[in-house]
Formats: sequence, structure tokens, C-alpha cells
Amino acid sequence: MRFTLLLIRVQWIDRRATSSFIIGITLQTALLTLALAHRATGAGPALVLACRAALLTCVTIVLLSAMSSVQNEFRYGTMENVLLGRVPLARLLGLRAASCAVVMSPALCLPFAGAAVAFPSVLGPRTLLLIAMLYLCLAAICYQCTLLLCQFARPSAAVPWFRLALLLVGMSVVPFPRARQVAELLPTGWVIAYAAGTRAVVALPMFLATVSLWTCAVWLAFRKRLRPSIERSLVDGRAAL
Amino acid sequence: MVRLLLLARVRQEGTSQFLVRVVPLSLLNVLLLFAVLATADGRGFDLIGFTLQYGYFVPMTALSAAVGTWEVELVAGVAEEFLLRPSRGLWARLLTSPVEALPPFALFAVLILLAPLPCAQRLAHLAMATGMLVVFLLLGTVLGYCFGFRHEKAVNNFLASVTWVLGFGPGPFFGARTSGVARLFPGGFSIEGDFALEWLKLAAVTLLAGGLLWWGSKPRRQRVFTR
Repeated sequence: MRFTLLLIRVQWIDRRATSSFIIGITLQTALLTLALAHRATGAGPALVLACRAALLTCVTIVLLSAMSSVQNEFRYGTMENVLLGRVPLARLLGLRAASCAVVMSPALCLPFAGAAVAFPSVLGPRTLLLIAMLYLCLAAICYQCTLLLCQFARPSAAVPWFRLALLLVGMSVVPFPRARQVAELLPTGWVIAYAAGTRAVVALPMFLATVSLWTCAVWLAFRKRLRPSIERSLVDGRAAL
Repeated sequence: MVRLLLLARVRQEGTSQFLVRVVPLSLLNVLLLFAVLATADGRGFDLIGFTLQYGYFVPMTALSAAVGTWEVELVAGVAEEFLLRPSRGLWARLLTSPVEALPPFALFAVLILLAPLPCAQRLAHLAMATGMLVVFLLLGTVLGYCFGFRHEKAVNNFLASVTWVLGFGPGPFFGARTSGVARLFPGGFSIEGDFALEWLKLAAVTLLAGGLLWWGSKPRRQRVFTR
């Protein structure tokens, strides 16, 4: 528990270090919250808009965090715990992902607060469950992308594509034919489906299924290839990512 | 000089990387910003609405491209030369920045030409978009010259906020909102077809750029990009 709190603190300091990030995210969250309160025509649409706004902001943060995740384990010395065999690597990365999701709480919750101010009927157990789903979804994305981005020679070049795939396809933002079916291959598609309330009964189990399936698949496929990048970091004495 | 700067940039980034960033990624980003709130409640893709939002997208991309050219001077190692002869620096920046602003502008130009509007209106919109591109490139260049953004962080602050500050006007976030302060943002008048006032606003922006240029070339402590 203390270890998790430390990770959260470290992550918060890390995010705060880039002032452009703070300025951009603050402006973006404020703008999106105001815009959704201005645009929404009812409680239902407001919820979908809030979901999209939160994901737009948070997916960017998650990817930035995932890009430097392994590097940060070295920077802050948390990797020592893995190398000494105290904590398994999977759990360290999981804790890192969870703390990343906690750190972005303001960007995640503010759009929902805006929706609740505009339409008080938004407040309820359904919205709380939706926010919990978003937290889980973002933590899972962070975990998967940490593993995936390790595979690239230049992770910073791959990040924009991951972001666009998750946002344009995963939220069915561009309504090409069968956009929704494609989006439902990813957990984000089910979050949006739950928010829209069209298939609310299947949305929650399907969301959990997609999250666990993707996470397991990525872990099984890429855990072996994480090792070389860790070894490279050790040998170099500097971050390889 | 411009060729040298562009070559330095492409060489530093890699040709394919540069092309991918400038063309598909910037276009997809425009698409994402437009559609993220617009298609939320199951509505289709409103192409004419998208076209008329050039008043947000063209100034935004032009301003970020022009301010973002700062890096090239470091890469090409010509910052000292620009210190000695500021006019060369200004021209070089002004002529390099369109490369990055052109793909979104070309997209909107094609969409305006294909839009189901009367011919005269289409031409007026096209002229408006071109005017916005030129004026905001100028403004961005002069901002870089005048304030110098002495550190990478300062430029990034500007680049990270310009998308969202301009977003408070009419555009993808608030829709075609044209009341009060929103009219002062780029595109506030042209989205309703009120071109004369929009041109006046562009003239005011040009005057502002001229003022900044005058202020920046007064004898004072020189500011250049440093890392």
C-alpha cells in the first residue's frame, strides 16, 4: 500500500514537471467541460459526451505515461525491487498503471461534474459505475501500452498512432459503416456503449471480458520481449526507452 | 536558406517520419478534434458543418506551425546568423512554416470548393481561408521573433494551449456559437457569411503583428531560442 502511494506521488511529480502538460490539460478539461454543458440536449447525451471528453484527455496522458513507464522504473529505482525478486514485474507494471489512472482523476471526473451541474439527473449509481469502468479501462490501456510500446525502436513515433486508433476507432468517433462493431473489439467501445445505454445489459460483462482478454493476450505475447529492453537499460546505465 | 532549414529538419527527423507527421497525422488529428463531440449522439458526419469550421482549424494549424518552427534554427545551427540579421530569420521562418500548415489548409480548400454553396460564397470562403492562413502564419512568426520563447518549454506551453484557447470561439467544441465574445475569435463572423467584419478582424491581427514586429526590432536585449 505504501509502495502504491509512493508510485502515485512519483507519477504526480513527474506529470507536474512538464508545465506545458499542466497548462494544456487544464485548458482542455475546462474547455471540454464547458462545451459539453453547452452542447448536451439531455442527461443521456451528456453522459456520452462526458465519456468522450474524459477519454480524449486521459488517453493522451496514459500513452505519455506508458511511453516512459519502464524508463521511470529505472529513474526512480523501483526496478530494484524486481531485480532483487521482491516484486514480480507484472505487479510493478500493474501498480504503475493503477497509479497512473489515479493521477489523472481531475481530467477524468471534471467532465462528469460538468454534466451533473447541467443535468442533475446524471447523478446516480450508473454514472459512478461508468467512472469506475473508465478508471479500469485507462489502467488496462496503460498496462497494455507499456508492454506494446517497448517493442518499438522509437516509441514516441508510435504514440500518435496508438492515440488515434484508441480514439478514432475505439470510440467510433468517425461513423463509417460498422464503426460500432469494430469499436466493440476494444474496451473503450463498451464503455461508450454502456454510457449510451443502448446495450446496457451486455455492456458490463463484455467490457470486463475485453479488458481481461486484451491484457492477458498482450502480457502473454510481449512479456518475453520486455526483457531485452530492461537488460539494455541495465547495461547502458541509462534509459533505453 | 529555406531549403537548408527544411533539409535540416527532414534529415533530423527522417523523411518518412516527417511526411507521416505532417500529412496523415495532422489530418487525422483535425478529424478527431472535429468529430469527438459532434458525432456523440449517433449523428452522422456533418460535412458542410466541418467545412465551415475552417475558421477554427486554419488559424490553429497556421499559428502552431509558425511558432513551432523554432526548432529548425537549432537543428540547422543558424541561430547566430539570425541574431545578426533578424530580417533573414523572419523570412526564413515565414517561408518554412507553411509546409506544416499546408495539408490541413489544402483539405479545407478542397472541401470549400466542393461544398454545395453558391459560387460567389464559395470563392469568398476560400479567399477568407487563404487570408487566415497568411495572417496567422505572420502572427506566429512575429510572436516567435518578438518573444523569442527562450526555452523549449515556453514554446511547448504556447503550442499546448493554442488549440484549446482558440476552441472557446466557434469551432468543433461550441459549434457555430456566434454571440458576444465568441465573435472575437477567428471565424466568428465568417461562419455566418459576414465577410467584411472578418476581414477587418484579420486587418487588426495584421496590425498587431506589425506592432509586435516594431516592438521586437527596437534596440533591446536580444532573445533567441536556446535549449
